[in-house]
Amino acid sequence: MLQVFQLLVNGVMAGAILAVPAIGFNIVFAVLQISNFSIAALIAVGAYAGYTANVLLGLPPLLAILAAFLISGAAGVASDRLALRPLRGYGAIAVAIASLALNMVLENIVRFIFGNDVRSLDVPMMRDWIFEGIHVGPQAVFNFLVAIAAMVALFSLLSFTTVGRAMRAVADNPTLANIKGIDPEKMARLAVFLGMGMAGIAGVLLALDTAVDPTIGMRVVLSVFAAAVLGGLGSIPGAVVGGLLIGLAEQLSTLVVPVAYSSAIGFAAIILALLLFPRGILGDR
Amino acid sequence: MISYLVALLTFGAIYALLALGLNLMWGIAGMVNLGILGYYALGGYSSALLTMHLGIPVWLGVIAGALITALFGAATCIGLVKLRDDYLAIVTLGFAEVMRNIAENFVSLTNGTDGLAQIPRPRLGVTGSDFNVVYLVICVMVVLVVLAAMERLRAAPFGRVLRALRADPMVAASAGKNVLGFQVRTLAVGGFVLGLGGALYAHYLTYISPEVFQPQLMIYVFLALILGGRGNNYGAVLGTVLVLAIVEGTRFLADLVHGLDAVQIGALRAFVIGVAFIVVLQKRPHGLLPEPRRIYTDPAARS
Amino acid sequence: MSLLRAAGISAGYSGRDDILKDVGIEVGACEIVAILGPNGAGKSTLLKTIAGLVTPRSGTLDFDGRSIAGLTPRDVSRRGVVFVPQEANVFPSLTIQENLEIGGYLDRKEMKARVAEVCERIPVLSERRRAKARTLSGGERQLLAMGMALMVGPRILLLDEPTAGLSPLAAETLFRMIKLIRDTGVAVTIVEQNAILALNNADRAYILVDGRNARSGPARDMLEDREIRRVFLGDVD
Repeated sequence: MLQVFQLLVNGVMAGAILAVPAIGFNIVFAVLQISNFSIAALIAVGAYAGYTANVLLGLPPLLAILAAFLISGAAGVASDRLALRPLRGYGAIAVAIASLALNMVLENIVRFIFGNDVRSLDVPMMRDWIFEGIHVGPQAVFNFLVAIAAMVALFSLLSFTTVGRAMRAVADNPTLANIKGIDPEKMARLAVFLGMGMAGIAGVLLALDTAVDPTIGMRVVLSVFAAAVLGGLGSIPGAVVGGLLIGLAEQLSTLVVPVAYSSAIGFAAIILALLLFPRGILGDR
Repeated sequence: MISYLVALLTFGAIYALLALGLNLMWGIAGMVNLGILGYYALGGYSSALLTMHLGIPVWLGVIAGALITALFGAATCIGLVKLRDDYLAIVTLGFAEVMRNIAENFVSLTNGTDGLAQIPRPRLGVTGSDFNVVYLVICVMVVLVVLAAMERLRAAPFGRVLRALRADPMVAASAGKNVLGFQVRTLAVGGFVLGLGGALYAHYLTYISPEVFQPQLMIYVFLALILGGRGNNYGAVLGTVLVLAIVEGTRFLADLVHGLDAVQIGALRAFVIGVAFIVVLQKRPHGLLPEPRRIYTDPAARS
Repeated sequence: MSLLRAAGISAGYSGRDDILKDVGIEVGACEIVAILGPNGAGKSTLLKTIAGLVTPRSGTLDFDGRSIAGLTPRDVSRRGVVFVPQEANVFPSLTIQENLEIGGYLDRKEMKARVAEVCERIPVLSERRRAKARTLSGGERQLLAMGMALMVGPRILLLDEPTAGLSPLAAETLFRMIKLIRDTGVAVTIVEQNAILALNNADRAYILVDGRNARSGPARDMLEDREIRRVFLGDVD
């Protein structure tokens, strides 16, 4: 029983981190109606931006996370502008396939600069806290809180600011938004910046959790897609729910199948869910 | 040099099968499938395991591997066909990742990341470099046969229905076509071709491991199809040749730039290929050989 | 002098033939002008062309003496020419309050007061300000779309079949409201299927057939013209 509680705690912590890039994927999808698969490489870009800030420049983790947000966001906007935007006229699938190539391009820019070596961020090793027999790492708690803070910040922006409302309006109906005076192109840029910035934050959190190498994004991206699809493509609350469910499913599955299969479990979960809800749990589009 | 060229062309022929299989599914029938490497690997592993453990002849194993993949393609179709394009893209992408996960971890069957070695080669009565040449000829013949079959299929009423499905499944359904039936058969036939490619690969290298899932390969196949002309079977083959030329051409990058280590050269090559893909897509979205136009003949005017 | 003047307009969707062929209309200040005609006559396309959603291939399009041809939809709105589409004319996942605020996106000063003002004019909206727009009925949705248009202080409203799918009672209510809006100094151009209802409420009307001007004149005269009733309005007496 204790083991189950431990896995539940781990699952929620892991799920919150998965939810951050899943939100990023979904906000881009909501506003542009495009699956941007280069999010995996932008997770890596964020991880290395955080590494550079933290280890090479000696900045504290919170500033490293901010740097990762800005750099991944900017890299996302620039690469979208150069590689993907010219293709929008050929349909969402053409853009999605191009984003796979873009992912390869970005990941290899990172690899060219930093090599394949595994690196760690500069954080002190701390002993786990133990509550009633459940182990919780202080770093994991820090990561969890950062993930929550990033999500709350994004929700607030979308719910309570004019620009957030305008972005949701474009997601609902770009033509009507244009009539009402909103520049859809500007909102698309902002959505890509925020979405890929979230991926950058996730990159640092994953780096803090384990270590940095160029495949850091590819290792989690299947779970991220699973979370995004499970919650419903384009749904922000859906991405959070999806992230938590995938995190929990992956952890709890270790009770019955070897750990190595956990990402396959997450995926099996989404296929099952899609048979029941072909538009995701909270999806409406 | 000759043996390098023979090996290159053999891989080219195998990749051409991947492009032809994808062309049927995506180019002609409009079902995007980012999980093609899953089918490719399934064909390779199935044929390898059947010939290694049951001792059945290699060619029988190749056909069996392709048939297993065909069945599997039909099965995945039933699960996925209800999904809209964008969900389908993600789910098929994930499908290949799950296959990789299984290949890496189901050690008792697949030998994990070490892969299966000493897969039997077919007996062709020759050995060494002669074997490679004969195998290449066989692979090229297989490609020609599949190409001819795909062309027959495209021109047949079956192909016309698939193009109608691609244009608008709702209209095709309301015209009384059994949409699911056509899609299942498409994924079965496409799966057969992909599995065939995987099996030919396994028995050529005598080795298969989870490395067959390298994401670049999928990008090469899509690039081949887009470069050659999506929907055009000859384009799929032509595109494969061009992609192979681009990929191999980047090997010479290493000679052009100095002072880079092996990792950096690898990264530079992947960068160049990725950029080439995006440029092709932007500049030539319909490829070099556009899809053949359908010629409408008015039945009333013919008599 | 007319407020809105379109002359010699030819337009169509990209890659297709012209839908509008040499169409012209004029709308004066504080005037309700109905655009009538059979299905496929190009009525909606004419409104979309004025609104900047379809680019005219030839002709002139002037509002208040300045050309608005070729402007983006948001720049047309910025001039005070506000288009209300027939369908998808609200943001379903936003609340009514948020919809109204987006309606006033071009001018965000004193937003609260203006939302309150519009809600006063359309009481149905103020009762349900926190509800998502997707929960509204068809008639309420049209009222919200109208309220959103009023948020920017328009000089002319372009309404595309606002009564489609509404009950006769709801349609009457809508037209009463359109007249009230006109009385505050806003010109209205309305595309309408229900020709009798439109002619009873409009000042003038144009009839389009097959993308061309067929007839035009004061609404009252048209209502009494037997030929128009028979040929264009399907009235068999």
